[in-house]
Amino acid sequence: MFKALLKKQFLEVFSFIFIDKRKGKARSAGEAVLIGLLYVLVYCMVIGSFYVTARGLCEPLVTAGMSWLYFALFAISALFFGIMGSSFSTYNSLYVAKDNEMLFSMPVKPRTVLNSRLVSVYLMSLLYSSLMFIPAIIAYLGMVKPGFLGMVLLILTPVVLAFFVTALSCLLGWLISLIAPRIKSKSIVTVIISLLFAGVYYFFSFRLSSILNSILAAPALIANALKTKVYPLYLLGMGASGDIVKFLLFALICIGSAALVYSIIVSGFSKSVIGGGSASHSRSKALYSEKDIHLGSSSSALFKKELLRFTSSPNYMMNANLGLVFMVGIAVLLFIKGGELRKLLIDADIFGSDMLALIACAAVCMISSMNVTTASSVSLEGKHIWIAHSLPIEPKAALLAKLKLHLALITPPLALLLAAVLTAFRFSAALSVLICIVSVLCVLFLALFGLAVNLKWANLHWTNEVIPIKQSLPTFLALFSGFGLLLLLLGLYLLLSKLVQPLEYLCIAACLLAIGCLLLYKLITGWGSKRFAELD
Amino acid sequence: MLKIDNLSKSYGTKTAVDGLSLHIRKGEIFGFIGHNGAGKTTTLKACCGILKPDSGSITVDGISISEHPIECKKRMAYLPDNPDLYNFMTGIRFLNFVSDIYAIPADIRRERIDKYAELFEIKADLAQPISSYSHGMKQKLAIISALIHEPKLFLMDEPFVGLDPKASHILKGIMRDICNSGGAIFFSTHVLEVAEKLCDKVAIIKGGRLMKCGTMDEVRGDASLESVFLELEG
Repeated sequence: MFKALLKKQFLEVFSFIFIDKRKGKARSAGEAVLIGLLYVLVYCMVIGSFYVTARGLCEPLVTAGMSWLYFALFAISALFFGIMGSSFSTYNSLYVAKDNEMLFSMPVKPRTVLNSRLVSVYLMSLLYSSLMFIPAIIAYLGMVKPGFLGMVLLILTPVVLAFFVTALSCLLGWLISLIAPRIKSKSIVTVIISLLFAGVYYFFSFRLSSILNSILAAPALIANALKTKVYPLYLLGMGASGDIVKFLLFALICIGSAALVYSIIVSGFSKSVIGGGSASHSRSKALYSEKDIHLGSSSSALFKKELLRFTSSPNYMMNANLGLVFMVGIAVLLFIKGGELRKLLIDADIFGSDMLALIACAAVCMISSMNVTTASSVSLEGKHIWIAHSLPIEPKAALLAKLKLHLALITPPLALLLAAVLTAFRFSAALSVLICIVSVLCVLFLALFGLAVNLKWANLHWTNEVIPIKQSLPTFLALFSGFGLLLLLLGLYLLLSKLVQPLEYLCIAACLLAIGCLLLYKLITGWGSKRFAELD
Repeated sequence: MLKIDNLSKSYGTKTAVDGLSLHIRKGEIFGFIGHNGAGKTTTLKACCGILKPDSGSITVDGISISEHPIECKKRMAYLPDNPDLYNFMTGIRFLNFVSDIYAIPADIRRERIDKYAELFEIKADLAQPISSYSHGMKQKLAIISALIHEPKLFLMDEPFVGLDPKASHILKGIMRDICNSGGAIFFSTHVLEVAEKLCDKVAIIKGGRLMKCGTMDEVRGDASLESVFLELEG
């Protein structure tokens, strides 16, 4: 029984190798091997990138006799990676797995189902935490030649650590299962948490060298702090360095905490699964009242529908609009550091003010091009397309609602970014107006382009929304259309640079973009409307 | 009310509907019977403008669906066999959305939502997300959204699938009411007993071709509808 469940679990975890989710068909053996190898290659590449950091840390710390600190530092990173990578997948695979109900209707003990799922959670934890630990071990072996026992302890360290990662992931997954049914705007919360994780990741990535330098500047201080405040990390480091007693103590802590967490979740597992999110039932059910009747125009109804679609999907929000976060982030950065940047560029006299305006405008357009809301908006109609087709909705109105959403989302960050650029660089009034016009036209052009390519290559038969959002030709084309457009405009500038000044060139670019927008608008409202009406 | 003239539609090399002609008059409940893949859904989709036919014409109240789709759609409602509604909306939001599209005034939509939601017993669930609805509840919501603008022509694809007996009974009453007030119903079904009891006229389709059409007495003669259907199926 357990073996069968385990087999199913592995097939599920590695289904991306065996099943082409875009086509919904099984891959051939050759394709599966190729995809598997590709993933192994990517994994090895990530390990390789961490190896560079590991080598930088290994030599000074091992030489200073602080091998344990070296392993402890990597254990912290492995914990971070492991928990970040597996806590949400733990929640999904333990508590909201689609086959929970089916399995619970069979003569299988809930504990057996849980155990099979935990094995895959453990393997995921091991996979993620090894991303940090494998390069650390390789770098260490490059310097130290441990004996047989040392080698065994070294290899067993990530294996044992993964128990602790599993325990923390399960604990987090369990907490999420308690909180999730009570959260109203799950999508928004998911996006915020994902952005926070990404923020923390990028913060540490950007500051990695300064963090490493500060560690290497005072290793004894850090070693002392870790040893006194996080003693298990000291045990881990000493164990990995060859101390069997400390290793066993560390293993006891890891496996003990895993057992403790297991005892907590095992009792509530069947209850929370069979309860069908009992928490959601315990929450008072919102009732419809007459206040819920809202009168609106047909176009506002279509826009609201697009907005609801957008805010209901963390995938759509995160993948199609990550540029918005960058736009706001860069704007804030420019408001804070813009003066210094301006001084640096003007003092260095690299570019004249007019040329700087061109570059600033290109940069704004480039960042804006990372938003591709329209590029998957048609495909996302999916199996609901019959609603738009059967109701008295002009296809043009349905398409313009998608365009409006793109523009409504990007307008506030674009305004903020333009305000930050203009405040930072203090261009002349004429240049400022032109930068704004070109940027707005560029955004409009790219939104229209995204819509046009999605209409041309619409896919309504997806099984997972990630496919049209992330893995489709329209999204790819829309993402790179920004680069393409800027390359075109740059090429044109190089051709005309001897004939026109940057100010005049911005006027030409604005005219060209306006013509492009008009042509695309005509294309979408003409051919695009017919195409939308015929999509099936 | 609905006139289908020489309708044909193919998918690649497969002919789904082949030269079909039907006339559904005001006041008629018209049943459309056929085995799986006979071309019922394709015909219904073409009638409501979801599918573009290869040839033939369809008119609603004398208006061509291909030339004036919006005008036709304002007069009709469509209920698909599988009500895939916007899962990201609540029931009431979806009804508001449909009402906005048909520009139904607030007091009228309130009155109709209350009336039908109470009738189908889903008023207490209207504020819940559609994603939490069962198949039957989605079907009920789809029916309410279709009735909200009081269509003259109601096209339904297997409307009773997933409905509980009470809701089925209520829907049958509503269908009769629509016809009594000068509307028309064109619906497909596998349940021959329902067709026999409910329909004024039936059409039997096989392999995209019309096999038999007429009033219930004309089609079944002295036999039962089931035996006629099975005989035609061969």
